[in-house]
Amino acid sequence: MSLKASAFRLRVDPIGCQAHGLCAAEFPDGITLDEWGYPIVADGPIGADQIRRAKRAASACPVLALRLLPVG
Amino acid sequence: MTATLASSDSVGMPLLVNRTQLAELATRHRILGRGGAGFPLARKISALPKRGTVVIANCCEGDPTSRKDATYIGNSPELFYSGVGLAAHALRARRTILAVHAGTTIETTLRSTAPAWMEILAVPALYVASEATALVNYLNTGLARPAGSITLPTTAGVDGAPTLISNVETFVHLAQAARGELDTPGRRQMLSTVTTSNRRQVIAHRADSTVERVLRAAAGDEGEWILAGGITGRWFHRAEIGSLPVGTLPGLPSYVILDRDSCPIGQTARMLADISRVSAGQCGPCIFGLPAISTDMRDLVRGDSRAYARLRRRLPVIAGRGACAHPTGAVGLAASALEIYDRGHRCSARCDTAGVASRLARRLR
Amino acid sequence: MSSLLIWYFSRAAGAVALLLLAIATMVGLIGAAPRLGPERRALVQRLHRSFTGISIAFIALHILTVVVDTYVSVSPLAVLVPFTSAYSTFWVALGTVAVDLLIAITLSSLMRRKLKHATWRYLHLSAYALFPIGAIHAIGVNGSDPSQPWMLGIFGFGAVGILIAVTIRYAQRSKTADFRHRAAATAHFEDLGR
Repeated sequence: MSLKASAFRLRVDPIGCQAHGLCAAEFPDGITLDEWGYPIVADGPIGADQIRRAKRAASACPVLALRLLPVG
Repeated sequence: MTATLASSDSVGMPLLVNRTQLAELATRHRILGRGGAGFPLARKISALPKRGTVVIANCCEGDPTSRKDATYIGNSPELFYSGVGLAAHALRARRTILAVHAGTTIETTLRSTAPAWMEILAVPALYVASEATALVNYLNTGLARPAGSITLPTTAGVDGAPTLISNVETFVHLAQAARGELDTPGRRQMLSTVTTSNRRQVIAHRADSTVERVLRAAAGDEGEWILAGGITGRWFHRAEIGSLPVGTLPGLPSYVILDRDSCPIGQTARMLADISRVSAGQCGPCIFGLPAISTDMRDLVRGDSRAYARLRRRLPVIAGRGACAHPTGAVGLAASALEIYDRGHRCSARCDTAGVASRLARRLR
Repeated sequence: MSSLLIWYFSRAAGAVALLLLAIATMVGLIGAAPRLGPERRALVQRLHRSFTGISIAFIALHILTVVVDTYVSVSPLAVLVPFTSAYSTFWVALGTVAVDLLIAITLSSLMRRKLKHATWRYLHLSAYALFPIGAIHAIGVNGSDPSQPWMLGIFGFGAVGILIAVTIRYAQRSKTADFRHRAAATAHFEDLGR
């Protein structure tokens, strides 16, 4: 994944997600957990100052259900 | 435009030559998907390449309230098949598939009337198996459940090929459009109705008919609250929608007509329990969220006022967070029931009855 | 530079590498323990990646000094291909096998998104073998050293620590969110295909 793309968004694979919750722990500003432990990811592009944390969140998922995708 | 078309086929229908002309036909007649989502067919077609598409006609009709597709296939099979054939030819389809739930009368009819070159695919007779990406998934992997990938079937579907999946009636409309029959004033369209007493009909109504006329044909004077759009539709009060043209109500052309003794909120609670029972069980919001809101709705019916707050809190959280539209549809139904509650409707003990919802449940697996 | 000095250094580096490997394994196991909660798990996971990095660095140092040193003859080929070392062929081969395994595990983790989850997982599980193979390699290659208290200490600490970490990892699994998800998900619909 090239960091040279202009903007990124986070996307949860709802089938792969098993509610481990590490994504929200790494990126609390952008991901919260619902009452059953599943991530609610804010829509829209991620600010440039938050990309690193978003990347860490995607890398923290034990089942790789969270992905950072280019927008557009 | 007709001057550039190839000459007509044996049933007098002009043969559209290519994808562009097919898309133009769909645009000109504003053909929308008839499976419930109402997506413009032209946009779907334009996303496909000029050749090599896989065409799937979704003949499953998984919604327990709906019978129109079975009626089209039973009464006007030639119209349906010519619509499918039209699309397959224009798209130079590499495969043309009729997907149907195994063991149903629709399957029997297809097997005895469909042209030999169309493949008939029998999928498990379960609600989620008829979802578009589930059909593709079943063909690709043998798993009859929504696939949840970011890639649309029109980009990559069966065996990675661009795939067009549309409802039976959508293909019927294509055929009618090509024959110049879609815009004639007397054209009839099908709408499924179910009453509280489980009287089921498919009403052939004029395309410009009003809701009230259809309701009268289906249930006479009986009927106060109407669930329009299928099992995951919305509630409307008869008095408020009677004068509207049928086409203005979104979703599947289907009405569940409750009599004055039935309660829409009570029936919603029952339906939510069944809707959550038949989920594919792949995503957290469905596995945990749907049973939670169906319990909440049941509690609301039984007089627990705190259930209202729980529902208001949970509904926006669950919608849109599954791999398919299942949780979103359930939330839509629940939200619609809450609107009735907002207008002051309160339940009594007799609202907590099985009603027509339990009869619909038998068709929901 | 005295060759013997390099030789002693390489053995010290090896011992430290083994210790770090044991710690990295323990931290990795604890980081996967659901009962830690998401925040602690995220932190411990990062720690695991750091410790793995440091142990790889020390393993590299150990290998480099062993190859460079002239006191014993271990060719660069023997680093990757087992049973090609002139010196202590069998025991060095064990070290080689461990290095090969470590390379495979590391590469698979770096390329995680390109692999199937099951592939990555089974490869990663083979990391359990790294410390035992490393320890036996240390014993066999060294002859007299294993009786040194600090070597025994490393073996003991590693073995006990990893066993404890395993019990922590799998304790009360059924009470956790991901277990609950898998249990609820698989409770549905065998008819839809597995």
